[in-house]
Parts: sequence; structure tokens; C-alpha cells
Amino acid sequence: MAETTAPFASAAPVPAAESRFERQIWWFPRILLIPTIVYLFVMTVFPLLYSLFISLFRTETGRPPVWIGLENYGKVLSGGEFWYAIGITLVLTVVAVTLEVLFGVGIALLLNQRLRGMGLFRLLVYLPMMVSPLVIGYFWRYMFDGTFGIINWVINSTIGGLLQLDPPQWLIDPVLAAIAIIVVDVWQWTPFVALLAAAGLNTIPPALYEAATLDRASRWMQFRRITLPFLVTPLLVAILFRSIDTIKIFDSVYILTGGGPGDYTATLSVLDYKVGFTYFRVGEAAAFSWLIVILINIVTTVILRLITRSRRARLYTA
Amino acid sequence: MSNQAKSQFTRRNFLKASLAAATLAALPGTRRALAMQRESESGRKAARQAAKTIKVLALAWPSTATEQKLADETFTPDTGIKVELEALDYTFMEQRVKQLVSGKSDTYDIYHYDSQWLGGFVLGGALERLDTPDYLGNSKATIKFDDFHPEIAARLGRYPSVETALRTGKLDAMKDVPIYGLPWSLNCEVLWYRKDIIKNVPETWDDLRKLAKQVTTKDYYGMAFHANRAADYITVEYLPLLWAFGGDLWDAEKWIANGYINGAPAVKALEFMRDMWKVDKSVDPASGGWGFNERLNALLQGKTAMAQNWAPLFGNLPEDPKSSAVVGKIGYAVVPKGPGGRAAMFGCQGTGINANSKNKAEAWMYEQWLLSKDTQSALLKTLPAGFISSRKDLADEAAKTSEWHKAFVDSIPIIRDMWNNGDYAELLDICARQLNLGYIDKVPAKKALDDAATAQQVVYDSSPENPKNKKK
Amino acid sequence: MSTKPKGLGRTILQYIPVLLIVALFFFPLFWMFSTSFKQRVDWYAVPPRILSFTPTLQNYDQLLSIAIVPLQVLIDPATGQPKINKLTNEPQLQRPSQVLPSDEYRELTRFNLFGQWYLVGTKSEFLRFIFNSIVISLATTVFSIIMACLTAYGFSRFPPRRSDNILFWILSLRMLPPVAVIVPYFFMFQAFGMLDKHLTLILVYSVFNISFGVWLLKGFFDEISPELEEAAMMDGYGPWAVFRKVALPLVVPGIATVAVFNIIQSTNEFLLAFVLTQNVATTGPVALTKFLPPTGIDWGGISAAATLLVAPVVVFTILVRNQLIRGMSFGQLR
Repeated sequence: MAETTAPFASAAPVPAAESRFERQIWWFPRILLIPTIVYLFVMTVFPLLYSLFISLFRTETGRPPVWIGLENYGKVLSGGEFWYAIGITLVLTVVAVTLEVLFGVGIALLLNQRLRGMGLFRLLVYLPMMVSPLVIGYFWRYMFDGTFGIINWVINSTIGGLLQLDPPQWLIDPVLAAIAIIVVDVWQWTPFVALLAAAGLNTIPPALYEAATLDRASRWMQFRRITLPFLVTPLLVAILFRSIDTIKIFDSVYILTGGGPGDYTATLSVLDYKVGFTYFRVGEAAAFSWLIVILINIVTTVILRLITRSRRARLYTA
Repeated sequence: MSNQAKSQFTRRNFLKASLAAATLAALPGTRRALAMQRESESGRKAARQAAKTIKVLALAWPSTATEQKLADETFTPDTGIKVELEALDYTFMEQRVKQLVSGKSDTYDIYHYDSQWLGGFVLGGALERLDTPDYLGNSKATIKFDDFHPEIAARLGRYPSVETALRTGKLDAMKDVPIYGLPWSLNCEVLWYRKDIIKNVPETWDDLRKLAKQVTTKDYYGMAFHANRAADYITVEYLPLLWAFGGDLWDAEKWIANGYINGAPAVKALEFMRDMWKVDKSVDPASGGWGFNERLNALLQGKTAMAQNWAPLFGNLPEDPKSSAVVGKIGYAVVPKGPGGRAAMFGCQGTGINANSKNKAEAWMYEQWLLSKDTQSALLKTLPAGFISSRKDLADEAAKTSEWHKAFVDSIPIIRDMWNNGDYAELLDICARQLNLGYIDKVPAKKALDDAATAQQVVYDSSPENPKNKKK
Repeated sequence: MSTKPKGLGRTILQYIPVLLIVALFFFPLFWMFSTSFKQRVDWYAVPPRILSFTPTLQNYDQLLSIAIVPLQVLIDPATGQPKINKLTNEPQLQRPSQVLPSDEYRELTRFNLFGQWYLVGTKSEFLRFIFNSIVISLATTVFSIIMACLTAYGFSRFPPRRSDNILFWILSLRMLPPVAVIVPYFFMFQAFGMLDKHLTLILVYSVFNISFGVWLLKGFFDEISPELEEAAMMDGYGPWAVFRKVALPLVVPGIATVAVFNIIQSTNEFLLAFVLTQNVATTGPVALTKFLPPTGIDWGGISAAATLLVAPVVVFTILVRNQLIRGMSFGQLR
């Protein structure tokens, strides 16, 4: 991916190093890379092996675990809840991330202007992502409540009152509940995308805009040809991380709806948690977790391909 | 380097240095503080010789704080044993408890457990058997199993339960069942109502329905349910209705669901609840998402004229002007009856000794102190603790303590509970999900309950405690 | 960007969308912040009281109040002699409820200074939890950034064989849903006796933080032109010095970004903290669950607690804001 040529690339490790300098070149890369890789490996190898191991057993309270091979995986894959959970999770992810990108770019552009107090404004907008998702879940649940919530009060006082509508029961209707979850996620993480987009905006040399204005290019043309290309990389990075995080989403969904009504908003992590910690079928939950990891891997690979392709494209047009 | 880069450089250096300094300072500082603490603690310990600390895991009920205070003031100085009560919120408590059981943890010496968890605890080997010469059978024991209301004590302490015996009150069938715990905190659902709006307490559920419709106004509803699908909210709301119409959750002897959870009384009860918000409009439609808080709120803020609610747990709240807009206006009565009888929802918790604990003798001393007449009386008298004693010799005192205590005492003969076996969590989850779907009218009531029966039967059939699986 | 002088009307027009957006994003937090000053009657008021309530400090007082009182020896009024603890033969000290200012205080700890015992009482243990959160997030951030800088530079300058695969593996660690790892981690740390210790959470969080840091920082390191480093080498600097004096200063904005995100994630993480700690090393978010008794969510308490928990994060962000915003770039001007 990196097209830079390392200055030391030509200096292959030479066993019999003559000067102190050349000896340094030999162990330097190893000292950089090995500690981290070892640390990460040690910290993750046991949990992964353990959960792989236990996913091959059936565990029940009061009974010793029973070997059943891949039956847990079969059970999860054939259960309707799993596929529904994938469906709802992907829908939530796609919608939420799309909205976050659109709003994020818009906000980044808005906040990029040189107005007084912009620093404070930026801080206030970035605040949502600094608060614990747990708290945010509780407060939004309170705001969405049909009777006590402030959202319905606003709706009733304005549109609802005029049109004589029944107040929407946000957390009880499956579609509205999904919308509520998306609203909360977008609210909390658009600032994240905006932050990365703002970084991308900062890399644009002002000279380009001046030249474009001299050439009498329209604002829209300037946006399409100058701004957007510089935003592509940060946005792809934002999409990558937001997609991973939204597929894993747990805290806010669990608090907002608990997976309900029914199991209509049970995302992958929520369902996994329920199988593992409410029913305490630990073996099945482990199999479930592995399937989630595989899914996320697939999604990430796709997005990474996009990033690589865009970087190569930028090389040619730059 | 440019000036900008230079200032960035020095500021970055400063930040890194201060971060590193802060962390380095914090670590030895923390370690020193801990070492000092350990030193002073070991000094105290040496001075106390046989001193120990026992840890109790409890639900975050109001009585827990009072219990801690009483322990600090009475138990600790008299025995030299320090007591640490740790209270956890109900939502997360269950997960913590399951982990502790499966990990055979010895962190806590005593568990204050919810009645439904009893099966899981016993199967996981987490509770010490108490009907042995070490504990209840000991001649020096200051408490006896007979000190407590028999049905309650049997439900909370003896496992496996025999449902018919508990129902009829003929507990001889259970007298040899092992005892694993003793009663701790008692609650049941009673009918809370606004004395200023409702003059005559409804006798039957049909009366209640008519009354609710009559008193509903623009400002408040006649009745409130908490019908959220999470935890046991809707199930607990529903069960008294189910039992009042003569239905039952399951066949407890043969472990069968069909015909019970989806029988005619069951469907009737679910449709009853649903129609109250859908047809009568006497219940807030938002109740489909309500839990404890919202239902309690509706009462305290004057948004409903009636509701089932726990007593004595929440009993003191309406009288507290800081939380309640209806001070002095709430009355308490036993829940209404139906064609099949009258039943109130059981909500009691028990207490037992961790079988993996290293301080069992001290834990047993604590249990005896906790359940002694003096301690129970002190807890009872502290109204904000929302506590009622299970001791028979305090029954009169309990009834006189307050209106809501009396309502509980009157309900004792009719309390009933749901499953308490090792699979209860999954059965409850299925039940809650299906009831909720039927309540919010996403699925017709009969179909919702039929699906529940099918799903629950799968769990019954694969349970290791099912008698037909045990015979193998 | 434009150099034309702006008219007043134009300025106002520019402010409006900005203020709208800020209001939209900030309102829920304002709601939470204002709830922390509300009394119980105002929490559920319908219609909701946005500004028309009597403010109170009791929620914060509940969390932050601390009292330190000396403990005297108990004297038996009958004999005029100190009361002796029957089990240990030591003089009994005053009981906490006798010396603490009110019923709401509970003993946090006691310490001995020059022979005199002092009792520290708090209305809530929350301070301790915030302290834990701060310590743990700072420690894991420092540790992760150091590791991530080294590794990201290594991948950027000395890509080993199959570096793409290893990098993907590192990223995949961030893909692990916490639900998947809690059970194994619980048993693993229990076996080592490391449950409920600060170090445990630091180690676990660092896995996710390092993964994030490596990815972000590698991008930054990639953008540094090799000529700068070659020039330094020409001047006789060794590779370590090149790293420290040339490459590192140029990625300071990246480091600041990673630091901010690490702090945010570590302070707000819930599931792992809940499972791996019980009382000693408990962090802020887990403490928040204590405000959820069945007698009704303590909205005043939970919002005060949440505000206190987010305060260190905000402070940290403000401290590094210059590194973050100005000059944070994905490309380097040549």
C-alpha cells in the first residue's frame, strides 16, 4: 500500500556487520515490530483458541460440557434469528454510516469557515462521541419515551398537534425502534467522521482554489474537482472504522431497546450476548462470535480493497 | 525547523513529559497508598487476631443500605467481623451471578439471590446446604426454618420445589427437600390506587376494567401496565391475570407447555391486557415499552389511577414529597380476583451461603444475626428501607407498620411464582417476547402464545431436570 | 478562504447554519447537563422543563462530598474506662455513624496518622471510580502510543514480508466484538488471580488501542517524504535518531489524534470493565449502573456522574487541540 521507498530498503540485513551503523540497521526493525506483535499475539491467542475450543461443546448449567463438534455452528446458521440479526445489523450499518458520511462532510465544510468562536463550536459538536454510549443510551431512551420523552412533546406541540396525529411510540414499533437506533448512532458518531473529514480539508492547498476562481470555475465545480478528491482517503478510513464499530454495536442498542420489540432490533452483538449471558449457552455463543468475526472480516476486506484502489487512482490523477 | 514546528515540538515534549510524569506519579503513588492501606489494615488485623471480612452480594434494594448500616453498628463491633455489602443493579446482576456460579468463585461469602435463580445456583453447586448439623441442625443455632412463614420459606429455600404442595399450602410433601437458603427480602405485587379518585376498590379484574374506563380522563389513564419485553416486566404484569382466569404457565409435573401457556385462560388474559389500551383506551399505549421506572412514575406523577406495583419495596415513595406529586393519595389493596381465583405475583429474595466460600462459619454467624428478631424488627421499622420481615413472630408488627405492609401481609396466602429451575431464563425470555408481541398487537394473541408454547417445549424437552430425562 | 470584506448580513447568514448544527448536536448533552442540576420532581415533569426549574447542587454533592474526621476512643460512661472490643482486647473506637456529619456518609477508609485514627467518609464511592478511569485510560494510552509509534514506523519503513497480512491481522483485532472475548478473558484472568486489578484492564484495552494506533499512525508515517530521512542519514544520524528527531515530530498531530481517541474509548468502555472488575478497579461507566435502582433511575445522579466522567476527556482534548486541528493532515506539503 505504501508507495514510499524506505531509505533503508536497500540495506539488507548483513550478518557480519562492520560498522556500528550497519549493526544498528539490523536490529532496529526488529525492535520496532517484534514487541508489539508478540504482545498482541500473547493477549489474543488464548481467548481465540479458548472460544474456538468451547464452541465445539454444548454447555448447560449443572451438566458437564458435551462434545458436539460443529453442531453449534450449524445450529446458529440454521436459526432464523441469526440471519435476521445479520439483516438488521447490515441495514443499520449501511444507513447509519451513509448518513454519518453525508452529514460529516457537510459539518466539516460548515465548521471550516473562519468565524469567531469556531473553536468552541467545534468542541461542542465533537462532544457526543466523548460521552459513554451507556449514558447516551439511557438518555435517548428517556427522550424517546412516548409519554415522558421530550421528542414526542416537541412533535405534539408542533406538527402532531396540527395534524391530530397519535404520538409515535418510538421504542415499541419495530420500524421506529430501528430509526431510533440509527438516530442515536448518527448523532454520536457523525462528529467522528466530521473530524476526519476536517483533517482532509486541511490538506487542500489554498492555491488550488485561487487558481480555480481565477479560471472562473463555479463553487460546485470547485467542490467536485478539488475538495472531494482530497476527502476520499479520510472518508474511506472513516467508513472503515465506522462500519466495523457499527456491526459490533452493543451498548446503545441494548439500553435503548434491549433487542426489542420482540427480537426485531436484536443486532448481532445483542443476540450473541443474550445466547451467552441470558441463556448461558456459552458454547453456542462462542460459535456465534466466530461467525460474527468472519462476517466483519469479509466486510472489512471489501472496504480495504476500495481504499487501495482509490489510493492507486489518486496516484495517477495527482 | 520553522518556528511553528519548534513550538509544536516543545509543546509535544511538554505534553508527553507531563503525561508520562502523571502516570509514573500515579503508579507509585497508588502503590504507596495501597501499601499504606495494607500496612494499616494488617496492623488492624494483627490487633484483631481472628478478624475477618465477609462479603455479601445483594440486589440494590433500599433495604441493602439499611442492612449495611446495621451491620456496621451492631454485627461488626460485637463479633469483630467486618461486613461489606455490594449491591448491583438488577439488569446486570444476573449476568454477574451466572459468572460467579460457573467460575466457582469465592469472592462473596453470602448471596442474596432472587427466587428464580435458586435452581441455577443449586445446580451450579453454589449454595451451601443448610439443613445439616453445621447450620440449622446445630443445637446452638439461633434461628430455625420454622421461624418463617412456611410457604415463603419453602419457595425461597427448598429446592427442587413441588409446585402443587406450594400452591395448596400442604407442605408435608416438601419436608425432606434440601434447604439451601433462607428468606431475605419479601415483596409481592399489590394494587396501588388513588384514594381520591377511586372510592371502591375493584373486587374482580372485570370490575377493574370497567372502573378504569370510567375514570380515564384527558390528564390521566385508569390503569397502567409495564409491558416491556426485557427482563420479567410484562410477564410479571401478566401472571396474576393468567392465574386469576384459572390458567397456568405449564404442567409442573410433566413439563408440558401446550395447553397451558396457550390455553384459553392464557389467551383471554393477554387479550384482556391488550384491549385495555387498544379498545378501552384506559391504559397508555406507551406502556408496551415501560419498565419499573415508567410504571412507578406514572403513579407518582399522577398519570394513572391504578396499577399493580411492588410492596413494600416502593411503598414509601409516594409519601416522599421530593419524588411524588401524589403525597397521601395512594392506597393499597390486594389484587383483584377472577373466575379462576386470586393470585399475587411473588417477588421475594432469599439469602444463602456460598458453597465455595472460605468463611462459612462467619457467614453463618451473619445469617443468624440478619434473621434474628432484633435485626429484622429494626429493618422493618425503617420505612424507607421498604422491608418486611418473614418471621412469623413479627407478622402482627408488620401489619401495623404501614398500609402497604398490611397489603402485603394480606396477600401472603395468595402469592405465586414462576419457574425457578435452571432453564428459567430462557423460558422467561420466550414468554416475555411473545407476550410483548401480543400486547402491542403485532401478532394475534393466540398465535403469539402458540409460538411461545412451541419454543418453550423445546427448552423443557432438553432440560436435564425434566423428570423424563432424569430417568435415563 | 475568500479575502473580500464581509457585510454584516452575510456574516449572520453564515452563522445560522453553524449555530443550528451546533444546537442540534449539543442539545441532548445540554439536556443531560441540565438534568444534573434538577431535583427529583423536575425529572419527569410533563411538559419537560428545559430551563424553568429550581437548580440544585445536591446531585453533585451526593457524588463528591468527602469528610475526614478524627476517631476518638469510646469511653464506657459507667466506668469511665475505654470500652474494650471483646474479640481483640483493643479499645473500641467511635462508630462511624457517631462521627460522620450525616446519615448519608459511609466509611470509605480509615488511616492512622501519628497515632491518631482518622475516618474518611464519602457520600458515594464515585470519586474512586473516576480516579480509576483516569488512571487506567492514561496508562493504556501512553503504553499504546509508544507501542503503536514504534510499530507503525516499522511497518512504514521496513515492511517485512507479508506485511499486508500482518497489518490486516492487527486490524482484525479491532474487529473483535467485546462479547466474544469476555468469557475467555474472564477465565484467563481469574486463573492468574488478576481479576479486579487496574493492570488487567490496561492490558486488555491496549490491545484495541494499539491496533487503532498502528493503523492511523502508519498512514501518517507513510506521508513523510523519504528525502528528509535520507538527508538526516547523510548527516550521520543513526536510524534511531532519525526516528526520534525527524519522523516523530512530524507525526505529532497523528499522535494527538490517536491519544484523544484512545482516551475516549478507554474511559467509556463498559462491557469488559463490568466483567473483569468488581470493586477495586471499577471504572466510571460501571459505576454508572449503580444509579439504576428499581425505585427509579436516578436521573440527577446519572447525569451528574456522566458529566463528571466526561470532564477529564474534554480537558484532555482541549489541552491537545492545537495538535489536533491545526496542521492535522493526511498529506505533507513539500
